[in-house]
Amino acid sequence: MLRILSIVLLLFSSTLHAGNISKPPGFTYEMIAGIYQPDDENWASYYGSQKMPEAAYSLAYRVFSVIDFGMSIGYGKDKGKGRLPISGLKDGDVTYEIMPVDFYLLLRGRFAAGQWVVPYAGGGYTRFFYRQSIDNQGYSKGSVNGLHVRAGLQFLLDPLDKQAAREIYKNYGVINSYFIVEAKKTKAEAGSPALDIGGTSFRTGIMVEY
Amino acid sequence: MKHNGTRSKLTNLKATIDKSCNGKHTLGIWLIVLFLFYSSFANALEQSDLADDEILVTSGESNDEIQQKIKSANEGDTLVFDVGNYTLNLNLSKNVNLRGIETANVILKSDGEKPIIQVNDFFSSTIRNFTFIDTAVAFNIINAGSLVIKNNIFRVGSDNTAINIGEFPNVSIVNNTFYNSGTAISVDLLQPSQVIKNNIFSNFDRLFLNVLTGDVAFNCFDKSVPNYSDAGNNKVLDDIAFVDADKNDFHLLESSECVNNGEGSLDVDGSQTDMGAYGGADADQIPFPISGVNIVENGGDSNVKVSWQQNNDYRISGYKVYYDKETIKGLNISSLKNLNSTEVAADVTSVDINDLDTNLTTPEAPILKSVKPRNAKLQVSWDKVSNANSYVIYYQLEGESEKSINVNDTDYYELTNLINGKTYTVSLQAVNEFRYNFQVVGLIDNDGEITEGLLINDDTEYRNNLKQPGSISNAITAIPEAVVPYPALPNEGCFIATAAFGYYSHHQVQVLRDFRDNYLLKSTVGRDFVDWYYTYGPYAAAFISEHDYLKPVVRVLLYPLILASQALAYHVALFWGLILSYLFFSFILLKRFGRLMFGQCIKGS
Repeated sequence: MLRILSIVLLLFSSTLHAGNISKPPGFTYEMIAGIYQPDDENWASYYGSQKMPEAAYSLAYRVFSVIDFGMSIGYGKDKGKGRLPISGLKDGDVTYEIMPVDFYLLLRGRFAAGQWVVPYAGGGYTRFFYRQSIDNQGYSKGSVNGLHVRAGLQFLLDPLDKQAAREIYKNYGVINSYFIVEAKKTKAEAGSPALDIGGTSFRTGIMVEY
Repeated sequence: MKHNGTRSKLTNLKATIDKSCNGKHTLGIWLIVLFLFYSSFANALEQSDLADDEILVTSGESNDEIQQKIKSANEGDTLVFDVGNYTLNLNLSKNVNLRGIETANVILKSDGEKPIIQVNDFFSSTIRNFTFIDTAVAFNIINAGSLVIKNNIFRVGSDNTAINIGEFPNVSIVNNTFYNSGTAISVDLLQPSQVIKNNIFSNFDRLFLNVLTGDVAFNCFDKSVPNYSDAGNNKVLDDIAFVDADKNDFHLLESSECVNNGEGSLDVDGSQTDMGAYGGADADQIPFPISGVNIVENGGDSNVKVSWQQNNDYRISGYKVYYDKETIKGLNISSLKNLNSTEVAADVTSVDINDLDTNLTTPEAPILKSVKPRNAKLQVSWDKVSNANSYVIYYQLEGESEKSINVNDTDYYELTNLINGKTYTVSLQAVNEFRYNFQVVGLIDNDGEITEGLLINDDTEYRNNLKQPGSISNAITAIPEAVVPYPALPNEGCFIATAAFGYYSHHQVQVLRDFRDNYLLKSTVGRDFVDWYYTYGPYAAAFISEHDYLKPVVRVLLYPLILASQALAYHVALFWGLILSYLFFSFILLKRFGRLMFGQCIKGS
């Protein structure tokens, strides 16, 4: 137990000060991609697998070094088959696209400049846009309200190349760069009776702080 | 060259095996070696008409792929371009020659403002037998050693330049036809050693951009071309006498004064060289494709008369008519030898072909593989059978008479305009129809060596009413229906109907969606209406949702439109008949209702 605590303290401690780069408040920008797993357990029988690729871009305003308010726009796409209710068949090419727009608040465990690992968690409101295109038949589209939570770890990249970090700061104003690993859960229901179109995302990406 | 390349690949591969395999996986690697050897052999067979130092280029290849071929070719190799259209921006910085198979039908144009061929810093190359069209600059030549541009057609378009020459000490522009372009040759610095001869310049705004000091002689100028010169044995003519410039046929009529008046190498037939793209020893001898082929019955099912438009190229010595039950287009020379054919003289433009084979083998019954339901459609697929060149699809709606549709030699067809939710029975019959395909090619005879024209992309097909149907296939029943995506989520469209009928996937709502997708979205007015509806429809829908008593009223109002939308599956006139009837009766009802409600008040007042 003591060993684990030591490791955590080491990770969270200030081990590097990459120049005079601690400048909250400011902006953070994320590019993140991964897989989106719909909660609907029948998904795979129509789309071949229980997951689809997803990417998202986020822009947040860092109020304090531990609180971000932001907006994220994601996009995911899957191709599969539709239903023929009378014939009872699964057929017809269907393309399902999602575009969740998230407004969120994140709490970041960033206690010192140059902290190697920053845990974070948060969540907020989601406007979940969707579009279903049916081959040779048109499309349907819509959007519903939802909620989401997300949590993950941010790994500071600056120590890997301090010189590059300073250059990027000097030329582009980037204070810190992070590699991100996160999980996100979205809850959204559409239609009547309600259909769950939410799901779980596992994503990695890059975040930079200005 | 390709053989050398393959041989070197094989040598390298063998060395790799010897070095690293030590016997492991040897079988697999030798199989790859055999495959490579076989591939090169098959390739060589395919390109058997080419010399060892020639590399075939086809119109399916991209600019980058052709550029790569130039890069990997050896010095002195020739890239031979097959018939087709090419969009190119090639950079020729190597001593590689470029040649087209047939001048009129190897057509090069540029992608954007860049030249089709940029020539930079190299010693020697010949570029011949191409047609250059629609481009700002066909050739841009800078600081190169020696270049021969011959037997090409330049038709680059007004305001454009065919050849732009920068610093270039030795260029020969010989036996080209320049037609309908802005500037023929733009010269920054033309050296005295330059040769511009045996060319035809016609329909040009400007011949040369700068002063020419080289050898400009034995060219034919159209009198309409400004700044022409009749010095140096150049000819200035009222009419060049092309066969048909509008059809890109720049061969010469016998009456043309550009015939046998050139200078230098003799024509292939041994006569004095002609001017223009089809003169000189390297002119292609392939006759221009024959057009206007027509086939009519000529006294009986097995007799036809084939006629065509005369090819006025003075070199034409005759015509050859190929005919066969199977497709002729795309056949190679060796296959053509096995076909039925007949030859006629140059002054003949029709021929009777008798005793065509009218025996038609009965095809077997095809197997109907699947009938997939779609929105107002059924997708029918089957296995093709031998001795069949068409199929008849039979389909019958329950309680109605059977319909049929003839389709060509295919294995898939979509039956459309069907009624969703109704059961159809589908079956199929293979048919062997009497059909013959024809191609007519011109012939050019050079001292007994006859060159045939190339086959065109489309056979001329002849059919009559003879046919031999086979047995009917198995029958499959299916119900056309719209594909419902999973999950079935609400659509923002059809707001009012969804609100009135209660849920999105209601059948009547689907009918209106089908109407939107299949009819409204296919016209500008329809799309405008959909845009307008999508803007204001949600407000009405929200109001209807909040007031339950309105839902049955809206449903009643929508039913005529739903009914009319369904009627569209039968005939558009039925749709408009129902809509107009609805409007008419609505007007009568409103009038009566208005009189009932307000008439007495008005009277009383």
